[in-house]
Amino acid sequence: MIDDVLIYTGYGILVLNLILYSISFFFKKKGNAFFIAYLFFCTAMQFSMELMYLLGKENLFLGNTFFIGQVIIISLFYKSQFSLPFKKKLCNWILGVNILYAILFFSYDFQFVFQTNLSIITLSSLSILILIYAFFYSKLTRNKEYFNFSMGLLMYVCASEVIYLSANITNSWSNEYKFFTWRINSLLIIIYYLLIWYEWKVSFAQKKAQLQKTS
Amino acid sequence: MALDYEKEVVTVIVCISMFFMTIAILLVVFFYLSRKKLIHKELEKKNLEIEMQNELIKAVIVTQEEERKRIAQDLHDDISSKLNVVGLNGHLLKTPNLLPHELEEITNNIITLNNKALENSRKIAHNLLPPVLEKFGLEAGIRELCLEFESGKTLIIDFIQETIIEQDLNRDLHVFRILQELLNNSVRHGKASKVKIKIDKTKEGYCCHYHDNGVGFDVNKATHQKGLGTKNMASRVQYLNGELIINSAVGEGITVYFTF
Repeated sequence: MIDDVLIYTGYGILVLNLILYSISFFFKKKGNAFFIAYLFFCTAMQFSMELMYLLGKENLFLGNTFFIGQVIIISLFYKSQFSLPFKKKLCNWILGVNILYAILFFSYDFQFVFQTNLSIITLSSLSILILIYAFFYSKLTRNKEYFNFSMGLLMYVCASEVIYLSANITNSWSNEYKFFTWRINSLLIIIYYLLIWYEWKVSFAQKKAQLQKTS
Repeated sequence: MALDYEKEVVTVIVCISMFFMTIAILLVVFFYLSRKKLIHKELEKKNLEIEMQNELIKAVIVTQEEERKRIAQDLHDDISSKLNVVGLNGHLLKTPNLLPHELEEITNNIITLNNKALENSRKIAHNLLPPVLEKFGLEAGIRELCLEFESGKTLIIDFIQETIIEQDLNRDLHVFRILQELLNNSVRHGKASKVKIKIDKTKEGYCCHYHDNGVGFDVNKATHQKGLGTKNMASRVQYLNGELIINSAVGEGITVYFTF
């Protein structure tokens, strides 16, 4: 019961974020296309996983798709945020290395697609951490747009890393403890999505209010 | 037994997860505080720059007003008064039955006063923009300035120019004014008897070394740092994108270095 509440609350906040950011982007011309793409990708993956689960089918390949897709979109997003050529190059390298590794890894044995792959998870998470640090560094003296989102992503990636890495061990356990780690993951996702919502409130919704005040 | 093991591993996973989460939060806090500190420092720097610029603007306005006052006084004392007397003499010419020697005296007066007014107006114009600067460049301007100061017989100036200065009236006028201010200060406040001026070429442009053997002053005293003359020189050097260094000590004269 509590698991469902946590999972569906996460879905709800994610959909709300997608709607809010889409309105800001398509109607008020504010925001970043890659960020909308990221939210859309997360929503599509979450609902696909839920659907597969409800149909009683294996959804681990979606997990792999999520990690690779996430690092691709996040790299492109941060690339659009950086102004220095060196940082743009860093994004290209991270993007290239992740894609190349995934191609080589799955070509070696395609069955890996249907398993939890620790190296894919570790590489994509480390890549995201590097991008977040580069982003934070670039924002030291500039505006704070997407600072809260990056903060949420950093916390989520750091905290959930162990949960994902231990997935293969906990998979064969009893339901009582198997789902406990995923319950914590759901809680972390809620915090992460709430920070994305807070980002919208601070960077996009509040600007409008300030404009209205001054006009 | 298996459940105990699972419970223990789950506890380890949760603890590690929370540990990483805490590290992430601490990193975010660190970034946030660093950002705050950097922005605060940058703001302080900008405020200081604005304050300095305001002081320079104030100095420029005060100098401009003083210059206007001086010109007004020069016009009033040297030209208007003389033209008034010329006017009076002109009226005298209308007086009937003037004797020839009286007529000649009045005419001579008018001619003399007119010449004096003309000479004074030239001097005023020369002070505003020395013609030599426009016609022959900075070197000739400085040499003329040196001759003017040396004509008082109390000051000997050694002017050395190591390079040929390309003519740029706007820049030359600022350099000329800076040297004029320095020479004025050396004579008026420094009581100097010898001055050395050297102009040389640098990588970026030119530089000027100025030294006198006057009484000097304590550069750390705020009154000297914020003096109108110093501010005026600083604003001119800043306008020329140069650097100004003033060194002095009581009894050791003054050494000024500026680039332009």
